[in-house]
Amino acid sequence: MIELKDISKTYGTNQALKPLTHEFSREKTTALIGPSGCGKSTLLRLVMGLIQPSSGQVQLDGQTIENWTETRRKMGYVVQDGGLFPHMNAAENASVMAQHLGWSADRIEKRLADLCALTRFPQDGLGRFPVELSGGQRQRVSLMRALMLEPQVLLLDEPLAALDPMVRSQLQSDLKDVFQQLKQTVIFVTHDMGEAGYLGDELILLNDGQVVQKGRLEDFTERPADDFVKAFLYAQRSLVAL
Amino acid sequence: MKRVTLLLFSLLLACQVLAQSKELTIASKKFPESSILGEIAKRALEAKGFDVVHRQEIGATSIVWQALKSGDIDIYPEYTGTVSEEILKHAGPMTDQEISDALKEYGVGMSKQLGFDDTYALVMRKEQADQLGIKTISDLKTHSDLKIELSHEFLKRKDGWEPLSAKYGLNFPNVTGIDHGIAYTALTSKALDITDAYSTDAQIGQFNLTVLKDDLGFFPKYRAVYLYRTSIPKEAVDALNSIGGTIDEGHMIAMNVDEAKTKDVEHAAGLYFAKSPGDVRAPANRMWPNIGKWTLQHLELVGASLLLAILVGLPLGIVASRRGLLSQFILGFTGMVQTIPSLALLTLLVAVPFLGLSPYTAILALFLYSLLPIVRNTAVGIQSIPISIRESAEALGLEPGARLVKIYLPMASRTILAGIKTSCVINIGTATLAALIGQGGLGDPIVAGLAVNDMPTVLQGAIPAAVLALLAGWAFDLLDLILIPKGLRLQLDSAG
Repeated sequence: MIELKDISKTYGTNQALKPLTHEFSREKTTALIGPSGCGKSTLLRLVMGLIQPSSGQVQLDGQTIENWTETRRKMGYVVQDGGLFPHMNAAENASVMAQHLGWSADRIEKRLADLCALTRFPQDGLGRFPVELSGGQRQRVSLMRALMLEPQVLLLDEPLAALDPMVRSQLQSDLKDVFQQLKQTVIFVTHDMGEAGYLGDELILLNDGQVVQKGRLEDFTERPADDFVKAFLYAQRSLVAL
Repeated sequence: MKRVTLLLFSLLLACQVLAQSKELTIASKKFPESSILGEIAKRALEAKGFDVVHRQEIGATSIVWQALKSGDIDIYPEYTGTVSEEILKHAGPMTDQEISDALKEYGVGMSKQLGFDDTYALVMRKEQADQLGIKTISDLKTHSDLKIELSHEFLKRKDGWEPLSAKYGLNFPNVTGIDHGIAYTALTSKALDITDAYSTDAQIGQFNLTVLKDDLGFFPKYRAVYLYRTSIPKEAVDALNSIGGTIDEGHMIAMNVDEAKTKDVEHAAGLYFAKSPGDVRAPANRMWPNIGKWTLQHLELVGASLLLAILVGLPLGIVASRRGLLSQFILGFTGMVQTIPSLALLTLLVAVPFLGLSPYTAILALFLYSLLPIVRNTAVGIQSIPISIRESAEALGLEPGARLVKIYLPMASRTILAGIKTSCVINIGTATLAALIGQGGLGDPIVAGLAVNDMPTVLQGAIPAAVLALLAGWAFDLLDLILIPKGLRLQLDSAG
């Protein structure tokens, strides 16, 4: 379980994230949503310790995080374009940490096979380099890499933003399966309300570094907190029909 | 009893065989005239049926004298002044008879004088001497600002610099040592103004130098002779004495000039035996061995400096890849070094104590020039890694060192290798300047050829240097295939 305690982030005079307290509970998928520059990616980076908060703190299972390197090994992270290392093939990318930690070849091979099945990545593609993979496949490898050490928390920063609609829709349903099987804390960033509603148990809408509304998709469509929420929903044309 | 007699007889026989096959060993000091005189003695002795080995360029007086005393060698050419002053440490002049008598206790004899007097002299560029109106050593008293470097031997000799400057009342603040062979190059390239020389040196004529007149008659007479062990056969002594009185100064300078031109001691010595110029065989074609030697020296200079630049440049580049003051300082410094003209940098470094005209100076200069491409490419290579990759590496929980080794350096490998390649190719060109401070390499024939406007000689250095640069370029292209990870190469191929 991840807890944010009065966490905020300021760049110069620009407050990217206003003080926020929130609990991301286990077995729940949370979608951070909002327009560009609303602070959703900043929030994800704070959780991952990639940037330091200006105030407040992040706690994992009630403990303030001291050793980020150790903690990150309990978290999986997927970025928008996959962030795969171009000089490593799919298997090497997925198992880079396992290799680093000295896992045996057998253990790595078995884990890779499990992950291929989970993420629906073809096993014969493990020898391919990122440049030889399609965008969707790259995201699957990135997901395998994030899940390799069986993390307690999975973070995804607009994982499907760069994909075409068909691939995207396929991956959305695959991701939903994965999240359900994992039963772990999942936090993902998206600017697509439909995707957020489909994958997320809880949605957090941010604007201007501040939480505007939390809840399930229905809460947003039925009881929008303010005009901004209405405008944001209206902008997602596919949802207007709802 | 019979058996013992037989044994004794065979022993005697063996001894006789050994005695007959005993070779005579001639040594010479580390300058061409000594080698030529050694070669003349060798041929004169061979004509009398002796087996002769000539060990050239053994070292300075003390070394050859020790070798003669201990019997390691049998004969070497020497000068009477050196024998009296240096070997016998006698105050004041000695007659030939006195010298011979004194040498006897060491089991050493002295041949007849060969016929010329090779005394020490101080030389400077004629143009500068004329300009300053310097003709004699006494004239130097008012010019203590001139840069003077002397051969290490002359600096320490009893008839060398100290008593000379005392006698003439000279007061030069910084007098340093220099290898005699390099001194002429340094003198012509104006790295120094005055050095010591032998009055029969070929370079005096070649480089348009002036011999300063010894107006107070300080230098003792240095008449050429052979020193030999008295245990050598009488026929050998006769052969050495037969050379006596047959080599005059003009003859010696001619042979020295020939050696300087052909770099072939045997050919120069051959002039002595020739009745007419046609009798001398053509000079040995030393072009290929020389090019080989220069190339090897060149590769040593380039290799050592490049290795150093990689060892230092890579860590510096890694540090410089983190933007900040330190990075700006590192890139600024290496960039600034690049703007210093190479000749100026060499001159600066030659002035540093402990460096002087040593190979370290050349290697240090080349190292400094090699730094920028390696440091900059390493820094840029790491900086250009996309933020998503950096965040992914960090988010995985890799420690900073592991991120560098497993992710950043392999990803920057192509850029880093390109930097090393640039350094190497530039280095091969710049290393030709090492010849200016007497450190050899392919610059040797270039500098020498340019000095006498001899293009074929210049090309003997320029063409191999260009070929070397091309080969190095190709070698690095091959290295790319081995060192750059396959995934990166595929990525670059697909990009364009």
